[in-house]
Amino acid sequence: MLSLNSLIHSYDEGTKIEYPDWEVGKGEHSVILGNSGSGKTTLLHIIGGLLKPHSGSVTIQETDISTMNQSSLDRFRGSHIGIVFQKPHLVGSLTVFENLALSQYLGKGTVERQEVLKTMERLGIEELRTRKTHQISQGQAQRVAIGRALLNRPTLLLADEPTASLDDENCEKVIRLLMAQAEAYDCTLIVATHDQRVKSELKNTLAL
Amino acid sequence: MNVFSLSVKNVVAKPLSSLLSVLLFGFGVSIIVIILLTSSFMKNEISKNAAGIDLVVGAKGSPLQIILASIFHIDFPTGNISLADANNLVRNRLVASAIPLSLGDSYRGYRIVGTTNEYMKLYKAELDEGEQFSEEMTAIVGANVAKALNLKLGDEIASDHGLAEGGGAHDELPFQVVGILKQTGSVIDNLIVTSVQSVWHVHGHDEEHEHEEGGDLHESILLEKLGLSVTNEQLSEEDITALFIKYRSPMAAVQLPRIVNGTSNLQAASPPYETARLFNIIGVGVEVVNILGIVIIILSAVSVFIALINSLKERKYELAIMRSMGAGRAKIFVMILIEGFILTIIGSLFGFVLAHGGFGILGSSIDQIQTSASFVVTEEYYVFGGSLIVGIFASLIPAILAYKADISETLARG
Repeated sequence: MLSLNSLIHSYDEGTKIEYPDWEVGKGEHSVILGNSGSGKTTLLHIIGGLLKPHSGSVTIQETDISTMNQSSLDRFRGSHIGIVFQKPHLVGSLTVFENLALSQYLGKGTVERQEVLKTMERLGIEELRTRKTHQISQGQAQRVAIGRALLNRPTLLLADEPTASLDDENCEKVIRLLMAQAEAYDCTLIVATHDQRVKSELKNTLAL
Repeated sequence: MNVFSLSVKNVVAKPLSSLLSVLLFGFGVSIIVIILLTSSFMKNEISKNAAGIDLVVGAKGSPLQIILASIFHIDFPTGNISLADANNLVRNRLVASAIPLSLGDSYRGYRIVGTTNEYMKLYKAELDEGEQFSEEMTAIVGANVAKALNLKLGDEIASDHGLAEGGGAHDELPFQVVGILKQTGSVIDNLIVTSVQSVWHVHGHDEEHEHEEGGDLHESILLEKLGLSVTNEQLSEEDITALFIKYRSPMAAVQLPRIVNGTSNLQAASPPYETARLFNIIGVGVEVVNILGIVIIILSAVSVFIALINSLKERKYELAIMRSMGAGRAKIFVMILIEGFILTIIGSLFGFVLAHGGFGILGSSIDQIQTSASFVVTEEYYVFGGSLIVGIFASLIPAILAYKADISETLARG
């Protein structure tokens, strides 16, 4: 469902980074493992269509996204890819419910209230509906961010360093949560991390 | 949920900074609008009061002063001209008609004008009650005068000598109020109007009685163009203050002022020319305040710009994430643009409400100014349009920055 072929990214200052070819099957939750500066966030952004590769191809479900133009890439990302970033970065002027609805509006163009409420329930954040984003805890905010990434039922769920600042117990909890939600929404999870603890949970590993 | 509601929520989420932008913008717009309203109101007033008067003739002196004193009744007259001189002038074939004015007295601060019935027609003033004044010590009063001094038909008023209060009263010869005028919105609302003869009578010459035997001196003759009926004695001895002249042909505009100014005691004053001159003098002040208003609008545009840039800095991750959720560049661009627009439109509307409200209060608190909050001039549409353009420019750069932002780079750092 995802395959990378002779992918090369070049940074502004000219240094190039070559990525090994990689295949991820459907439902095969995977991890991109590497130390800081190894280019794993960059790779995740390329897979998520946030960044264009210098050369090579990224194919998601038979679609080569490396040749798409900007606006069709935006649309593809909205409907096929959910991304959980290192920090939640919720929209401060909106409530928790509106933050989730925003993702539907931007990804699909419409808001289905029932769908939003169901997702909130599944993540255990239905109580927070009308709260502003500064009135909830870090952990709750991360759940909102995960819900936001899953709402549009993407085929690919990307997570960038979701466990970076967590202790062992919480690290396991978050990975379990991501995997469980990915199963529930029938999508494939790819985590980019330097955290060796994640490796034991996810079998398909790309080491950079 | 749509782009507009997102923009509204972003504006509301920062109440203080939004309020500052709106206030600044509002004050800038309101200053310009108030100036616009005041100056077009003044121009309106002037042209309304000077309508139908081609030329004003007074005693030698400043033409502007003649206009101010005899049309607008705000300055002092330059002096008197003899009735004989006036009569000689109006007999010229270039003069279609003339209205004589005898000024100089007042009653409790309101000026008394000695004139003919033509004066009422000039301002299209109609009687609310009572009748026209006659030659014999009767007067009619303007609507504002009647209201302010609570004058009724049959009341007697003793005029003061001079145009200010307490100038020494003519107590022994009071005027009787025989008519009250309807509100006209022109200068006549603030005047007491009587006949030229009555004004002469108040300043009565004792000699009149000494010449009683000279019969032909008391024979009444009609000065047709002036609409006055006088005795020979009056024609040779009495004075008036000014003449309103209506031209017979456009030719007169060229020749008549020259003839008037060639007569030793007379001075011609053209209302349009002198009011244009007056506006030139006031214009400098108007310009300064206008520039002040524009400076405030530009400052407020800068404040909108800074508010947007600052909120962009704070929200760059949010915006990048919105992009990652599938929002196109155009959507983000439009969202930021609308945010700037909301601030400037609300600010601009606030400015218009402030200006019109202020103007309405001015109109209702000062009797001499008859206006209302709904007084609108076309230039205001330009001000509104202009302020929106300023608003677009202030939000354009932030919107372009948001449009161009590299989301991958932003998110990699966050």
